[in-house]
Amino acid sequence: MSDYLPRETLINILTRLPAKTLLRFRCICKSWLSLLSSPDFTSAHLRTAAAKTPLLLLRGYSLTGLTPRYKELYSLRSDDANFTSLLDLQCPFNTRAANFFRVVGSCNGVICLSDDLLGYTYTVILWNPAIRSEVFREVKLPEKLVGASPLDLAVTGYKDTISIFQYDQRGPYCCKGFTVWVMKEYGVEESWSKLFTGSLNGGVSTVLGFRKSGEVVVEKWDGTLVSCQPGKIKKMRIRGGKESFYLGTYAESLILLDEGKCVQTEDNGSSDEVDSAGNASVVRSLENNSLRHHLFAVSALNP
Amino acid sequence: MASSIENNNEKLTLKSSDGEEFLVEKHVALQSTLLQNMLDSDCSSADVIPLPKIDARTLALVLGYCKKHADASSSKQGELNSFDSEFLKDMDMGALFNLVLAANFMEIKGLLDIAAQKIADTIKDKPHQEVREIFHVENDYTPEEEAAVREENRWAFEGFP
Repeated sequence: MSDYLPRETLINILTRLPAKTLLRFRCICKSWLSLLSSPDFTSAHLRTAAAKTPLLLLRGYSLTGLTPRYKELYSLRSDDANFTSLLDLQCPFNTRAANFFRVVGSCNGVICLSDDLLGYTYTVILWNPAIRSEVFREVKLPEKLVGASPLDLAVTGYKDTISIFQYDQRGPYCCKGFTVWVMKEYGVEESWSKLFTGSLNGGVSTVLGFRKSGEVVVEKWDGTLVSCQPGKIKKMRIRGGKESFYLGTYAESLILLDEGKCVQTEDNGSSDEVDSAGNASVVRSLENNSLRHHLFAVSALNP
Repeated sequence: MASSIENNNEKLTLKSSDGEEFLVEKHVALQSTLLQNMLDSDCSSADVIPLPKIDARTLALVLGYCKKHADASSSKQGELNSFDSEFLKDMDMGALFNLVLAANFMEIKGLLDIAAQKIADTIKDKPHQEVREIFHVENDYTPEEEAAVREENRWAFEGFP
């Protein structure tokens, strides 16, 4: 490190730069590479970035590049008016068939992917290992939804509480509209209330989730995204493969996720390609009679 | 014997690395956490507070910033913001680095923030060689090593030669 600036001051300046610029700056010199990869720099950068812009994780499925397989596109977006794409994440995993993963959900920086969209192939992937324990408990549905088909319901987080998206008679690929329910006070079943109902020309494919503003992002039947709030629908100029989108809030600890290294253990060979260079964290393979879960762990910079 | 603070009522003297002395009102000096702590712990009875790492040109700038921020009432945030951007507007990199170092040493958070941000904004889209010159660092990669690091982060280089 040059003596020109104390490390602390250099960190103060560089943490203000976007992740993409910082990746480029790894080429400046070896001491910068080591500084920019260090845990104290990473966490300082995360704090600065988190204070500036809340993030969303968007997954889509490109319509081009048909061979050898479709390309899954994961990006971090700023949760502000521009929905700017800040960083593309490279997913190191491939599904067995030419297909894409179902994003089960993401929580505390861990994304759960399941390879079950073309037949159940028994593969569940946890992407990033800063796996923190979560406490689950049962919460009753709004009374009006008792008896509704679970296929018509989806649960998501909303501010400090939870919300349910109810689809109107969901067909194989789309339905006409949806209703958004919110549990106004978390854990208080009496506080369930209907936030709004939406219907879209041509139909709704998937209700993806909330923005910070309270707008709901919806995938239309044709694979385009719109942002809905009561009485207002806004096109988002994003389009991808039908039924391929996922949107969820994202823990800032994943900003440099593409830096993660991963390893797999398996009892037989697999066609999945993973980057297995160095720095592996704990990986376990679980088995029972009917299911085999392959758990892949990707080490975070900030374990 | 009475201290210079008491003698001068509400003023103290700061001395730059190149020997220039600045008489500063106490409420202006309080913008600096370092000076505030010195005053609180009564270390200020020395006639002059030396600041051996800060030259006169930089210290004058720092005190200009402190005076503006000390004198403005909290209701004038908009005015302060435009003062801040005007303050740094045509400053060269050397002066900005001196300011960052001074603000860091004297613990003036607002000044540290705006100067560090200004540097970050300036280097964001600059080619590597210019960044190296600005930060006085040498490229110690072999061409092969540099190509390998570049390859690992290839997507970040879109639009860069």
